[in-house]
Amino acid sequence: MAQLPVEILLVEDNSDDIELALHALRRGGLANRVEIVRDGEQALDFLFCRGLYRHRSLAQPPRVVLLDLKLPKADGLQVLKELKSNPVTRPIPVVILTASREEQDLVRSYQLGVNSYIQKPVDFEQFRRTVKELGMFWLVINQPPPQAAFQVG
Amino acid sequence: MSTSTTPSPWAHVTPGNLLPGLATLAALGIGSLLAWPRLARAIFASDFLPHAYCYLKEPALVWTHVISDSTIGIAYLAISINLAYLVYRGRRDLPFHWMVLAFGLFIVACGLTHFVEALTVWVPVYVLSAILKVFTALISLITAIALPFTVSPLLTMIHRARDCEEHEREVARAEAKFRGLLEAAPDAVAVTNPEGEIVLVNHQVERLFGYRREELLGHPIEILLPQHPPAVHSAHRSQFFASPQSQPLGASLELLGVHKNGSEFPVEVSLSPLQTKTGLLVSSAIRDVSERKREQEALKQSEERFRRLVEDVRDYAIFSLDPQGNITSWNLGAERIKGYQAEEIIGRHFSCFYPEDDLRQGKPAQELRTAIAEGRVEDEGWRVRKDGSKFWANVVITALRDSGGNLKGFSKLSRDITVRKRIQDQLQALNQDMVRRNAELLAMNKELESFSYSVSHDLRSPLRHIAGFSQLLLEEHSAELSFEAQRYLQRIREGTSRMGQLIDELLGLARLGRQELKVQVTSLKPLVEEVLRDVIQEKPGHPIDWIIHPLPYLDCDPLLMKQALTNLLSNAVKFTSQQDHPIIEIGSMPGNPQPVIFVRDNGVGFSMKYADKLFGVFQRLHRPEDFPGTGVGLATVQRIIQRHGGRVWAEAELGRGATFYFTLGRENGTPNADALTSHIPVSDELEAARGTTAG
Repeated sequence: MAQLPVEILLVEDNSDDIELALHALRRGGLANRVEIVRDGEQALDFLFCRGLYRHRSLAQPPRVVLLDLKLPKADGLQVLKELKSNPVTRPIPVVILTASREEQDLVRSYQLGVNSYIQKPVDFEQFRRTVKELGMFWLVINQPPPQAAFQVG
Repeated sequence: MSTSTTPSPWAHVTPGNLLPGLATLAALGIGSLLAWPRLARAIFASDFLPHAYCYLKEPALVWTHVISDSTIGIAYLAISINLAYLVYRGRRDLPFHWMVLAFGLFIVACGLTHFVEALTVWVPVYVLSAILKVFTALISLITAIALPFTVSPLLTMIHRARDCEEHEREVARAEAKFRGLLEAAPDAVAVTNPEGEIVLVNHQVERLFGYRREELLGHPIEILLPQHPPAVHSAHRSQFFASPQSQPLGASLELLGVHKNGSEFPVEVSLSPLQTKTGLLVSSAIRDVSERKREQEALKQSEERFRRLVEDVRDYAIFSLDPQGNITSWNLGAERIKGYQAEEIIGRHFSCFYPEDDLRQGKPAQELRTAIAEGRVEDEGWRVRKDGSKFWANVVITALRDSGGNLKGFSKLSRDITVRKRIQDQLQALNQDMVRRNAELLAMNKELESFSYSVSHDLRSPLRHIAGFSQLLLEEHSAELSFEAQRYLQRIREGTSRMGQLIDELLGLARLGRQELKVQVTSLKPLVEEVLRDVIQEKPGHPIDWIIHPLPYLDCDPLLMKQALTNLLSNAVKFTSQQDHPIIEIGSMPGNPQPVIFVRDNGVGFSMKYADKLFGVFQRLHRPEDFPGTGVGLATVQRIIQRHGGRVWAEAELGRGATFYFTLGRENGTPNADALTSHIPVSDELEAARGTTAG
């Protein structure tokens, strides 16, 4: 439906979280090209252009993936592992955005090659600021991987 | 030599039967001359011309004949006298002396012939001369015929004489060898003749008895080995001479030897015969056995001592069995442990100590078999006393063998280890209990871990939603809300924020319990200074009089120690905030085994009534309006100190400040009750956290 490529893939199962996140993105003027998926399996389908998303092109990956850890079906770490272990999807920046900052989660995520790990602050004001800065960083400040990075072989 | 065995036809001809014949012949001749004077006249008739006429009375020729014949006659006579003397003196040892006599007779006859020849120069007794010549011819003939028969025995005799010389040399050599051996023999050897006189001794005799050789030779052996008990020695000796077989040392006599200085000592004497030229001698090998006697005596005494020792042992049943398993000895310990007296149990089979189950399985016999096969067998099990009660025994059965390897029986050693067994069983039960508890604890820990994980993930989300939507309500719909409603929303926001903080601190405390300790030697002073900087930074504009005393080194995890110090110093700062002149003091005092660190303030203090609540999670002694806080700080301090095996406590007075003390390591070597039960606060936390979830 969207002609322009997706810029942010938000992987989040909780609708309250989705609403608050979108609200925060909107406030930052970053909510235009956000795709939302509700579980890990859907996230992988989107990123590998299969199932519901088989018409998508691998050549147009999202600029950043905001990934929750606790997800139905495949969880966040599993999604991260599949993305980072496949050369086609490895360059896509992945940011873990989750409630926990348990050490084991941090260790695992960084071992799997996550690009950033952010704990959602309880305070909404702080959350909004964090999401805005996050969007600004990955969509504006950061240089995305060039096409050549996705060429396999 | 072989010739001597050849029978000779002349073997029966001896001087004994030849000489009387010759004597008889001579007597007959002289007798006939006396009996018949005519015969004598005929023999001594001198009617012929003397021989001198034949020599024409030529004096030179006459005297040459006379002197030569006389000289020959005298020489012959002298030779035969010598031979006769030889035969007379040496007839015993001289072989063939009859042959010598025959020679002598022959020479005498020849001599007489020559005398008569000289006589006939002047007196013409030609008949006598002829008779003498006949006699001489006969004698010569007999001698000439006998001589060949004596050649062979003579040769034999010569050989024998040579052999005899060699033999003597050999004997001399053997004797030298014998003396050498005698001297080299380890035993004292005295050789005696049948009269009991010492004829030969070796050096060892001199040494053993203290006499010089010459003091002994020719003296009776009794001066060395007196008849003690009397008659034994001589009786034995005569008996020995009666049947002189050599007696081995093993079957020898034990006698007393007497030293020159009069001291007596036990000796072992073995007699052996010595056949010599001078008769049968006895060689006595004498061995000083005092050392062996002493050893035997010592061994006997030690055996006796050991036997008494074994008998008196009370804590071990020590008894012996014959090869069939019947009891042959019984000590005091066996009496005490098994309840039987020696006289009622000796002779019985040892299987009576085994319970019925063991008997059915043939255990006693099995144990003996194992002891025989492996030398010893050790077993633990129930055994039965005389009164039927059972005890748990440790049993060792050892097979006893003689030097030939034949089974002589068994020794059996039993101990009553019922008490030990009971303690062991209890320990084992305790151990199992502990293993079970440990597993429970591990499971609990695991549960807590997953619990705190899910708290971390799931408990915060709804909080965020509440906070988020109430904020949005405030921002986007404030126009529609009354002032009161807006204030409520504000309180909701504050509540969520506080709860978020509580959750974080609680998770931090839970994490403390799981975190691995990285203990190292840490200087407390720089750590305190670092903490001070952070604490002062947090509360600028609040002048505090800090007194820092010298601080020791501690074996601790520096990160955790820093956190504990941070909490203690923050507390001190917080509770002195209302003082005009806040003073905070940090120092240490000597303690056992480790120094005690203290943090003293002159703040609001607290009543010692509530001292036990001080370190509980979420326990607060002040209203949040007066002093903000979550009630996790001191609980965290306690957890950190406990994880180091230490103890934390406080002294305070309401309105007059408080002092917090802590020390690492256990005090006075006694187990630290707090440290031992450190899992209990964990379950408290669990309960507290569950309570929170439920709320």
